[in-house]
Amino acid sequence: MQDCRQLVINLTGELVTITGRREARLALSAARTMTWRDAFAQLGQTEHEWFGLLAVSEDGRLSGLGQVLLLHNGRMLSWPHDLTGRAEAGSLYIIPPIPGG
Amino acid sequence: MHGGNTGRILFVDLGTGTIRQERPDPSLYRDYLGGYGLGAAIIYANQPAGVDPLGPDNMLGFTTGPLVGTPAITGCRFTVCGKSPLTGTWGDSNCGGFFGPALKMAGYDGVFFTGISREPVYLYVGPEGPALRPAAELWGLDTFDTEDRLRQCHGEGTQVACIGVAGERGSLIAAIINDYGRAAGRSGLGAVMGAKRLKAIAARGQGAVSLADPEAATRLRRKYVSEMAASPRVRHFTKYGTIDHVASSCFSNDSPVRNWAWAGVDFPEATAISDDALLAYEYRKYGCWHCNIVCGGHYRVKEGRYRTDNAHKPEYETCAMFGNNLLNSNPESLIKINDICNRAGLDTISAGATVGWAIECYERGILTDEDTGGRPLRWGDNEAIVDLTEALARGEGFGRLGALLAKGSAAAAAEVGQGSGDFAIHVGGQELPAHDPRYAPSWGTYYVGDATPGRHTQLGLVTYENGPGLPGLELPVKIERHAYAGKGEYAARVQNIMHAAYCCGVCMFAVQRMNVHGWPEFLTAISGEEFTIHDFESIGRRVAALRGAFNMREGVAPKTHFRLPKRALGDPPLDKGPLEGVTIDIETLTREYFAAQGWDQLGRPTEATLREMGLEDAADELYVARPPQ
Repeated sequence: MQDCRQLVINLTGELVTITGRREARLALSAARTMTWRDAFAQLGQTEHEWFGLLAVSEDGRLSGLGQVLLLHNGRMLSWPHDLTGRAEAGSLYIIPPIPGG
Repeated sequence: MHGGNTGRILFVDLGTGTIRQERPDPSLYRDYLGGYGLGAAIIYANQPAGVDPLGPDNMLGFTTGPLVGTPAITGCRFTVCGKSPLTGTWGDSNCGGFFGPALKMAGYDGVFFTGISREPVYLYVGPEGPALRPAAELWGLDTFDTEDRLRQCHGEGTQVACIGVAGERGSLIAAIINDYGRAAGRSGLGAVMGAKRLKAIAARGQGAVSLADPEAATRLRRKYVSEMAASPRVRHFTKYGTIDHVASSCFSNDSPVRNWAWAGVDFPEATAISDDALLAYEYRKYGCWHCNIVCGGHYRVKEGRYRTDNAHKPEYETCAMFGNNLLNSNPESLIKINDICNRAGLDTISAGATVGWAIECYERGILTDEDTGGRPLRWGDNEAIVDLTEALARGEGFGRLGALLAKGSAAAAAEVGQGSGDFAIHVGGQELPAHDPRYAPSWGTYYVGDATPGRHTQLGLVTYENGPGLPGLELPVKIERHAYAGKGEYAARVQNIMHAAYCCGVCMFAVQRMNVHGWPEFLTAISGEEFTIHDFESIGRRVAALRGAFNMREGVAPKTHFRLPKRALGDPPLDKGPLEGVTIDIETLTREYFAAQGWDQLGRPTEATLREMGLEDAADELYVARPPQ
């Protein structure tokens, strides 16, 4: 039996409107190492093209949006260093910048 | 300027009951536009230093702007300004709704009040001309009933800016309310109205604002409405308004949690008071006058303890300050609290912050059951929080806390002592809004560097630290959030442009979402004079300098009077979450910002800067007549 663990991606703010969803899920295989960039690239194929832009972003700054914040199990992933690290199961919040209001 | 302004300003002496009209020199509009620029110019020139903010000599101004009541995007806002009783410094607050255009269309760019009326009065400004009317029957009414009565009296088209019981009873965090829930909340200016026994201004505008080039103005409106309608960002904001980011700002820690002491990841319940969870209570959209964004809403709680009807949508600030800041995850309580504050005329930011201070005092044993009338006060206890807010709004009840908290957290902490000032989260007396300088450090620059301390609407460079920046205004450098050197010049430039836009009378949410060059384009078409973004920067710098000069004349310097609380600095830093280990370098930020504005090391405009800006009178008064210490 394959050992799959679940990554639950919570989209917030304007990303809900941009991607048309609040949540996305990705099964992570224990047999195959997948980086965060790989994970986003896969989500770009299966869920919404916006994830593909995130996968290739150098610093998390996306046109018209600014730098998104990635919060994995309560810990912030730093651009670009952590993005080449192994994607882990759990909860990932993707938070777009909110200038104020 | 040919168009956009009426060229008439009212001066009302409430002590004598006299009203006079003036036609200012046109250069006043060119130099200051309107809003708090015009307000600062008139108040600085007509008011001596050292007046009691609640006394007869404090001038209270209501100003519009040259884009108010015109086809310009969101040209609907009015500004209230004067010496703040909360901070003792320059104070201003602006507000949407419908009052601004009504005042302009009634024939006036602004109204300035002095004196104290012997009896409660309101000012009516309509086709019959301006008049003071008795308001004894309105005194004691909430803002909803006040608006209803004035509409019954003067007609459905009448727009009202008024205070509720909080302002009448002198709460230092009292707001001025328009259209049942649009608030000029900050700086405690509702208390100034109350002290003057001025219950309301009722404006009935029937004229049209003159436009130098109506066709160009209409063409520009079509262009920018179309551009904004195509933007997913704007569409998203139209649906949710500011409540879309209550939870995400909590988790990112842009938003305070447990009186600024916790990391947001420790309050996952924030999802219960955010976006769709709150939107479920909306039964009708609400937009301010001629707004194409329409971010507001009418909310209803159908049954239960918090049954509420015809309430305005609680904004992000309200949800954050009474929600995650107090560990309160009950959405219906937030709708109720918002309604309580709107009816009483109370600033929800300062009120939520002050309740947070009180809960922490109780937790630490500084306030006891003796103070609360035997009622426990705990984080997340939404019933106690609602009841305490009602007491705060009335200025009585909940033991002695209603009266104590009505003064705001700084004054309450000064009275209670026992070290409670360490966790009263304010700058210069004004409670901080729900945006954390540890998250985007330029918040800190403006909280302590602007003449009105602790204002989140002065967001300037934050739009680049934490977003794509102002549309159409590229900066030559990449702004990193947690870098400190090299930001001052840009912090000043962007803020000065925003100063000018606000002085035109437009909305912060549009300034964040519309091409920034559109504002001078609109002003050119409407006024008949040429304006560019460089003019905006220059005008904004003048406005900033004059507001700074007002504070300087009061003996106030940002460096010595406006200090960020330790929790907002990250001293000590949080030990978890996105802001783990972050302590901001406010010294570098403010030193560079002051220098870029042409201010001295204490944050006061220098003589050379005042003269360069054409502020000769201020330069003579502050540097020749009585040189600064």
